[in-house]
Amino acid sequence: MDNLIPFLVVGLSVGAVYALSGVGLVVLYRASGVVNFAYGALGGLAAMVCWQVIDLEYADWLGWVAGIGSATLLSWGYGRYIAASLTHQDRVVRAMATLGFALMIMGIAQWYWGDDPRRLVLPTDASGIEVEGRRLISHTRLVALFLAAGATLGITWLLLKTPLGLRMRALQSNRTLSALLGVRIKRVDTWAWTLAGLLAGISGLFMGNMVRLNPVVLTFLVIPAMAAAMVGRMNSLAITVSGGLLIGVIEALTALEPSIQRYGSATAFVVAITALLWQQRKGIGLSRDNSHLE
Amino acid sequence: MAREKERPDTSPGTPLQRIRPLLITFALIAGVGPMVLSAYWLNTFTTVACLALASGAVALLYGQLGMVSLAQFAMAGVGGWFCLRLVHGIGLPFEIALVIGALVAGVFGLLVGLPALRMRGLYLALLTLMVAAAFQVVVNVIGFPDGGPGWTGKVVNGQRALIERPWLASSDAAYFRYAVLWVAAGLALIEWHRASMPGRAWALIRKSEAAAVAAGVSVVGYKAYAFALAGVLAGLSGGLIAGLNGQLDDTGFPVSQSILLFALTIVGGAYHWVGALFAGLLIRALPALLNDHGVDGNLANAFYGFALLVSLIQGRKGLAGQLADFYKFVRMSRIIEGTTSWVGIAALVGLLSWWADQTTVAGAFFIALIGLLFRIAIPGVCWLLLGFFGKPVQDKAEALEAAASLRLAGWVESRGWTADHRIIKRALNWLFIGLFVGWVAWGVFQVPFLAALAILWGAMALKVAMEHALYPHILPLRQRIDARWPKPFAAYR
Amino acid sequence: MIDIQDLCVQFGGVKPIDGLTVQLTKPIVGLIGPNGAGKTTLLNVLSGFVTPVRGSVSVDGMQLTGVAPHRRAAMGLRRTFQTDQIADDLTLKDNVLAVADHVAFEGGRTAAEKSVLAAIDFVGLSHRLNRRGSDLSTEECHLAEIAKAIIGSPKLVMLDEPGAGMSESESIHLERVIKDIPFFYGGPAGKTQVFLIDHDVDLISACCNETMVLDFGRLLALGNTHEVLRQPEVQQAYLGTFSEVAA
Repeated sequence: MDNLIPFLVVGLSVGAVYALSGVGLVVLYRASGVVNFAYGALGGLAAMVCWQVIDLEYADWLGWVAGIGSATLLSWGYGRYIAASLTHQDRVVRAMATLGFALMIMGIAQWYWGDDPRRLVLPTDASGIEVEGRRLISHTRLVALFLAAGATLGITWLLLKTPLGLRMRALQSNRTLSALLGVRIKRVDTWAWTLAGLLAGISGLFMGNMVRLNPVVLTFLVIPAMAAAMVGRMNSLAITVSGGLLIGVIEALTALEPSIQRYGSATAFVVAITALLWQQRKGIGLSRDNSHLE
Repeated sequence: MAREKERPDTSPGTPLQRIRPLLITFALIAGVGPMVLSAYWLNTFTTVACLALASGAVALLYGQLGMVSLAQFAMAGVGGWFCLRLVHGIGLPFEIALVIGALVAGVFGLLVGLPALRMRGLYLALLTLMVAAAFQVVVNVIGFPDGGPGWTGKVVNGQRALIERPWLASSDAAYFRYAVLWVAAGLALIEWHRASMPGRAWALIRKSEAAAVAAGVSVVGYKAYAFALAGVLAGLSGGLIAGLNGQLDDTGFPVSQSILLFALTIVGGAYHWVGALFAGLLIRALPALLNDHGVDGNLANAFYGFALLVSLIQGRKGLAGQLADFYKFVRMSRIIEGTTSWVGIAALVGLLSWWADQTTVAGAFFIALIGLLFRIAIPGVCWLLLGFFGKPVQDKAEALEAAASLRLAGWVESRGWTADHRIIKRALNWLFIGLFVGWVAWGVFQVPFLAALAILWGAMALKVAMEHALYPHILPLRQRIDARWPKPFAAYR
Repeated sequence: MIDIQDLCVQFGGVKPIDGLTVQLTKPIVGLIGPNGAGKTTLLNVLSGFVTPVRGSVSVDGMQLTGVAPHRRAAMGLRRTFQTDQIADDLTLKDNVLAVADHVAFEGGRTAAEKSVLAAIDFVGLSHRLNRRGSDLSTEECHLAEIAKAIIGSPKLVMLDEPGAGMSESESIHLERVIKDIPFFYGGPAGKTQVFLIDHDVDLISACCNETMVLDFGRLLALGNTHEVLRQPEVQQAYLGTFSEVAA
């Protein structure tokens, strides 16, 4: 059991960041119906900007603010201007548009910073919880875990207890009706995108620290995040978090078994596919508005 | 719109009529390509053709059924994998391995599609994304077969083997033609489906699944069939790429390529086979061209993202759709007149430049032909680029240009010369074509830039002179042609 | 003939149809009722999109319970929908041909094409044969839906608010078309039964031989159209009654 612990620690902490990203994806989907393929790209940009600021010898905290701020700003801009012009198209089109957004961010980031190996160091890396002289878990990873839990609780509070959250839930339930009732779609959507950008920026910093500081790699980390969100049916925050942690842990544990070791990075995808198949196991019926089968 | 008069409805045509333009275009490409392109570009354009087929598969699912499949490039990888395995393992001839590989990819496509039949479009996109990502990992681990033992057929230490090209198509030029013919067959197959029963059923399903079911259409059956067909075509393209290079790169099928394939299919146009061609060019030829001139490929990716965004905001018809919209009003007589005169001039100019020893006859001829192509396409492309800024800007620019042209034409006429009422457009066209096609000629055909400019502008000047001289004599003929044939792109959507 | 026995449909706590038993025998039968009375639900049961918790439905003696929706068309059931279902990028002819593709014709493709042209001619849209679906007007779309529904000698054609959005003159043309549907395939007694749901009382009284009134999922009245419309219970269900105001 002892030699499992390091794997569990790594698995849980990476899983926590998957979970955090998953939560950001689910919140945005619930509020605006958009699956945000640009989530990882925004996180990647945040990490790169943060690194750049620190590399230019500015204070660490300035780097974090710059990084998270740039992701939030870009996400706000997208939500305010571009998502707004697509708001009446179907969900697939709006999701594909975020794909375009992701390619743009990734392309420019990769062009500017290139493939040079870099590291994003956070001050919490150096210290951690020690047991019998051995490092059990770094503070960075602990913070990640707490953030995932905190974000879930915070967002649940936002959705259930605040007026903004109520409007978000109304939009999720029925956009047209909500608009007719006076919910300002554009304003609520913009808030949702801003929040998603904030979460993307934060998870981007952690991903950059724990996985790799490379724009392309970070962009495609949106896929395991989506896997977590799919486990949660793009709806339940708690299940998304569990899904993310589960994916992280399984992924880490695959390193123990030589025959499947090299397939480890496919864990998220297998979990997501299995979850999807399980969720869709019931038969086909007619949708509420009689327009399609589901 | 004031321009749209009550015009007679034309039937879209029988399946054979609808695939004819496709077959003619590809026959031309197959015939002319090897004569014009260097070895490097020949191989690039072979890949372009294969990717066009893969794009056609994506367009089949998205354009016909509204289903987003981000896994089609992975299907191409599956087809390529089985093709290589069969050739290395059993020694099957390339054609048979190619077809079997494609069929296996079709089965995979069907397997991926079956659970997705019950899902709404978004979940299918996510599922196929996961499949493509999983495929990347799997292929990274087991690699593509290269003559080794075991069920993966991978050589661990030692020489990796390449498969040989079919004996009919061993040279680069021959393989280019071979691949283009397969691609033409694949795209024609899609078009045939669209023009007959499956296409009609798909259209019903796309509009409303419930209504399709009530009309007796088996939604599950037709969707499954579309998945299988798209898988087969994607697998075919993968096998053709394997045949081109003799092998496939283990890292050559990442998720990013699947995503790019989808994005550029939308940008190129998912509702017409020309869109598939554009997609292939965008994925492969444009980056190669940019590379030649030292532009970072990542900026190309950023541009593609931008293009995808614009395409989606503007209504999803893509480049092909926008161009067809623009040329809706072009009359048959102009097309005939333009083509014949330009071909004649191209031949003349070719001879001249050969005599002046600047380039081969064929090179000059084809530069002039490309000039014609761009002369046709540039106004449309400019209109398209303006579209990035939104329809109001587009309309405003068009109105401005028309007003300025009319004024200038009035002034020219007051001098006693026959005027072209679209002078400004033509002049800008000239300038642009000269510079841009000259650049392409320099990059692709190794013609000195100034010589290319001289050829192009000289040819255009010649054409204008001819037009002015012949106009009064040709006019009655043009009117007769227009009365007989309606505007060729008017019925397109 | 439509035979419904003790039909009961339940969605959660709601019972759109509650113990409905009725036989509909006339060539053109109308169905009216206030909103939420269960009209479209009944249509969905007949089409197979909704499964009842109890009861049975049969058409011309054929049991429908348990038959998959897409098989009912082959059994001779057709329906139209409230919202337009004409494919945008197919021509009108191809739209109707798409339905004919899935009906077995003796005489193969030529017979199918002939029946398509006949159906389009029947609804009066021959001049729009090659027009794209997206270019058809609302009235033309509704008529096109009817053309799709009469392909292949169906036994029962269910029309869900076919007159929605039509002007006065368009409605008159629609009346003529609907009245002729039962006799399109010949025979003095007609070979096709029409089940017409609409809010337009003029259309119903002009076309229907008998009318059924649903209210809260129950049968309120059935009989000759004019008599049914004069019944006080029917009028109350639609318009309500004045309550006595306390002095």
